[in-house]
Amino acid sequence: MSMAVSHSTARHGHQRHIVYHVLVCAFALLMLYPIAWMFFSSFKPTNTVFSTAGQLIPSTWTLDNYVHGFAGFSGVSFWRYLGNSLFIATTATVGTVASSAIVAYALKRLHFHGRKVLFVAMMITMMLPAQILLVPQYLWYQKLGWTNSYMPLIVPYCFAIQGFFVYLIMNFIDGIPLSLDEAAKLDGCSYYGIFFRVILPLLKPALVTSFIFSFMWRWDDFLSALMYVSDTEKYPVALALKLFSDPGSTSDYGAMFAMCCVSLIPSILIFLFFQRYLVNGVSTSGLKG
Amino acid sequence: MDTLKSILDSFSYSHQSVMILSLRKGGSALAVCNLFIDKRRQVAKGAKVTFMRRAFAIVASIGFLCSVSACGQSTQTSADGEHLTIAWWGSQDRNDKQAQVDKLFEKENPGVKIDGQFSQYSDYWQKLATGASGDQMPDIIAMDSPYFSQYADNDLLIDLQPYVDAGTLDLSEVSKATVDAGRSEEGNLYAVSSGLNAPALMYDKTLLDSLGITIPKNWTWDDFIDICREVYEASGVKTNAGYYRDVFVLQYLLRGEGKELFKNGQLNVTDESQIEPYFAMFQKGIDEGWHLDPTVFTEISLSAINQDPLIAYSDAAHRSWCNFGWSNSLPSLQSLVTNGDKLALTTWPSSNIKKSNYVHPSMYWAITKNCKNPELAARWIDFYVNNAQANKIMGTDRGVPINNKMYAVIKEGLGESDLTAIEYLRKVVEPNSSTISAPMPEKSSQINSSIMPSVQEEILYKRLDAKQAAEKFISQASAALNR
Amino acid sequence: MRLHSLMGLVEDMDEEKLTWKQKLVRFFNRESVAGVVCSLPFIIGFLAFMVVPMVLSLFYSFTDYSIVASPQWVGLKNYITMFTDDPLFWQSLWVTLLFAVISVPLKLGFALAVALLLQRQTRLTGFYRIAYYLPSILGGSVAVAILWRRMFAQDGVINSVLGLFGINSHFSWLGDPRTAIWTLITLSVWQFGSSMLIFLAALKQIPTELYEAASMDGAGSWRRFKDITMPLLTPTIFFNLIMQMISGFLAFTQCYIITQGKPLNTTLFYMVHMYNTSFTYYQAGYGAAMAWVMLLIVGVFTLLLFATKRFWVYEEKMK
Repeated sequence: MSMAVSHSTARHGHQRHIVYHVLVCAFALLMLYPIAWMFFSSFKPTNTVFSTAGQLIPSTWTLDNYVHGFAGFSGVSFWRYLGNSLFIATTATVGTVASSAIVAYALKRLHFHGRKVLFVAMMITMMLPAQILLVPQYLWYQKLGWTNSYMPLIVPYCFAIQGFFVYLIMNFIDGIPLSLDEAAKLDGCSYYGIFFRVILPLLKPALVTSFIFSFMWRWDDFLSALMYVSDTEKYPVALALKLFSDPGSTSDYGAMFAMCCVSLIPSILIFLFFQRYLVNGVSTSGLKG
Repeated sequence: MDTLKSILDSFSYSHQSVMILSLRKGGSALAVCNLFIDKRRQVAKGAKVTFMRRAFAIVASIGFLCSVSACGQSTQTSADGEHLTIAWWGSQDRNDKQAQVDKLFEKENPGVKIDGQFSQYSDYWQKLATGASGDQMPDIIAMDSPYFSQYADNDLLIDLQPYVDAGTLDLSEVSKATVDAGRSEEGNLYAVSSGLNAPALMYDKTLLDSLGITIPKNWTWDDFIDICREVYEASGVKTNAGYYRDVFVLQYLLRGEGKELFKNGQLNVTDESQIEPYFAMFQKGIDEGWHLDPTVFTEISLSAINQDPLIAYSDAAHRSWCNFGWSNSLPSLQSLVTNGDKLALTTWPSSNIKKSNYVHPSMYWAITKNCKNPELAARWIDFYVNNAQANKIMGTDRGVPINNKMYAVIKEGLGESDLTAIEYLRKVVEPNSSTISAPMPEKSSQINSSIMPSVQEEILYKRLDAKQAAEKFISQASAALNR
Repeated sequence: MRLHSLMGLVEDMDEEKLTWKQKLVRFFNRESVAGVVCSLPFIIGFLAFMVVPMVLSLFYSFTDYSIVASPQWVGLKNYITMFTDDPLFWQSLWVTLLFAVISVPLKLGFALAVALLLQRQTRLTGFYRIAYYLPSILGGSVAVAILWRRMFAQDGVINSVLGLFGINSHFSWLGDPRTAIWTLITLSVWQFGSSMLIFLAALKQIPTELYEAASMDGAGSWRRFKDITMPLLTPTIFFNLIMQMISGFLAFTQCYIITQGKPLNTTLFYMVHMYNTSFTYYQAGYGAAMAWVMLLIVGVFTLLLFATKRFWVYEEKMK
């Protein structure tokens, strides 16, 4: 009797396993379809991209789009644009994550005058759209002498002005028991010590998430680049891709899709690489006996 | 003991069990805490070190790679010698050609360094406006008629007349009408046309021939509507009557009746009956079924030439037999035709072609007030206009060269459609046209990009009839101009 | 015992004469000072990079500013025009509200559901995670615009799929004023991957011993979910709600690159209208006024959400 029961529960479990996979997989494929379409279109001859829009798999495969795309624009190779974007995105991201973490710690764990005011100021930075500050910021950076350089694209981000990340990390700090702080304090740790030795190591998932997001956002940002970068050789990929799509005359859609796919790769790589830190979170199991 | 208890209480559930276990083994409270923290630190440190080390390694290598690539070439700002920044919008094709022209200029003027900046059309104006606000515009800019007044009236461009008079900027081979097209309403010369085109209706000649329809030479709006009906009834192919666009066609229509659309920065139309016929055309089109359904336009990118219904369509209901545009679009459109049809050019219909039609600068070059070396800039424009080699390189990319002698020079390099377009300009338009209207007023951009398209849209979606549309247009356009 | 000796040591220190260096260290170790020092990056950043532009843009909102000419003071004229003479203001506000109110809960719902589903470790989990996250990497690129227009075109994929189910559809999703906004909502919801990522990270933070202890006590998976997972997730849900609400109201790219407001302004986002006013019609003063009004609206919604926080968000109390 018990054998029969366990056998049926095993089968039941197995069935549920299959159902789970079927559902999740089907939905995942659905999510991927538009991207798959773009990916496969980049291998179609460019003038058939739209006429064969209904067909996912190309009937004629060609690498022309990639060749044209990498040849770049006006003598500036696409690798150069990729390099520019990589530089900007990485430096800005490292700066963002580092500064946001320490500010989040202060806002969440420390009592000091003006804490509430700073919190409100931080929320305001989140609620301000980029476009509203476009012209005033340009005029201000111009006074600082930062036009035609990468400075406005990197430096401000190293000062935790994106409230999103501060708030995100604050949220994660919330999940770290206060008692750890207190125990460390009793141990003789300074507040700075608490941050570096207790909080920071436990913030890995938050830091990783912030890193991924910040990288992606810096990578995709073309508005700032448009305003502050005048030399076409210094353009980041996001802006270069927009150049490709000037609709005034014939557009090479195949090449544009190809380059779009290529520009997705760093974001995907970053995600692939760092996601394991999200998976193996931080287990708070301390001592076992 | 109290301290221990409070410490224990403050630990969350999971830690309490740990604490109790350790306490049972005889440690003191503090020791337990220390142990806990130390162990945690060890684990975390180990993990942190590996994580940090790895992250650092990646970041460092990436940083190294990019600094090598990104900082490879630096833009040399020549300390000695002169420097010009030129900005324009355009396609890859144009950018390549422009770069060649610039290199040629540098070769003929040693010590001069040219910095070419290009972007997409809409981004271009955003960037330029911001640059203007900060007094940091490029030296030479490409200019377009809808924005002309904006920049000219706000003293952002310099008057070129002195350079023409001094001979630096030689416009002797350019027709007077063309030169005057770059003047503001007061008569100052703010820009030089970089290429010419003319209003032109591109249409599918093969289709019309197969239906036995020919377009009369000096056709009127009624002729146009008749032909649209005929085409639709015979083949199901519909019409795009210049939908969701600016007021150029309306202006053209009014010119045919001897009136101007704008005057002194105001709308020169007071009575809706003057413009009702224009909107009535759209109303008839949608009521009788020969105009394209507005939904077709929501599925394409309106500014992308390769999605124009004239050449890109899935069936007759998505197809237009004509396109209200400018003559220099013919080569691009023709190259995008996939089924071998031939496109041809004719004028936009009008009650009086001679009064309506005009030669139009496709775009201009202007020198901004931020230019530190206007004399050099003027020489560059002169080079662009008059140098045979430069004209040969650019071809008809920006339209027909304004220097009348250049046509012979560039003729051999041109394809059939290019030649057709040039022939159209010289043989059809030039002899049968009048002076171009003054540039549209400064505040007209809202009319061109929002008010007119909206009104047309509402007619096609049957929310307004022609009379209401005319009223709405007049009231909104006047309000915009008087803001 | 040891505790007492430690305390003794501390008292002893007080009585010694302290060097400047030690006094400095003591000073910086005070909580109030440490707080300021640690938030210094933000203070500097905010003062240096945000305050001046913000004040400037507020100033512009009271002027007539065409960007290429100097601003002219007009007082409250922009604000008055906005509320009384601009039908597009109300239209775009309505559209944006609709967009935010519908897309945000849907997005969060999917993000949470999928994050929970992906808790089960299987061999394909890594693939699933990437698959669900990938759409949000695409962001607002031109490629997405082309993609989306093709998908919802009359002869596009969506209609073909409906055809498979026997529904003969040549419906123009993008062209009909009633359905166009839904194409944009779909796009936004499709990109739920970023919220999902945050939920995934938060789920990882829940101590596993809690689950172990609970199952030792005999709690089934539903009870574990209800009493452990959900309460501990509420702070993250709250966070995502705030973030998505803000980005929903400030949505710009989807409209700008795909529909530009067509048809009949039923997809005109508030931010796009503001952008057009500033940069296409050269009325940056009016645009600035619009931006500040939106800031107020978003601020009000945020405050409301914060007010409801204590009713449903589990928070470890700070002493």
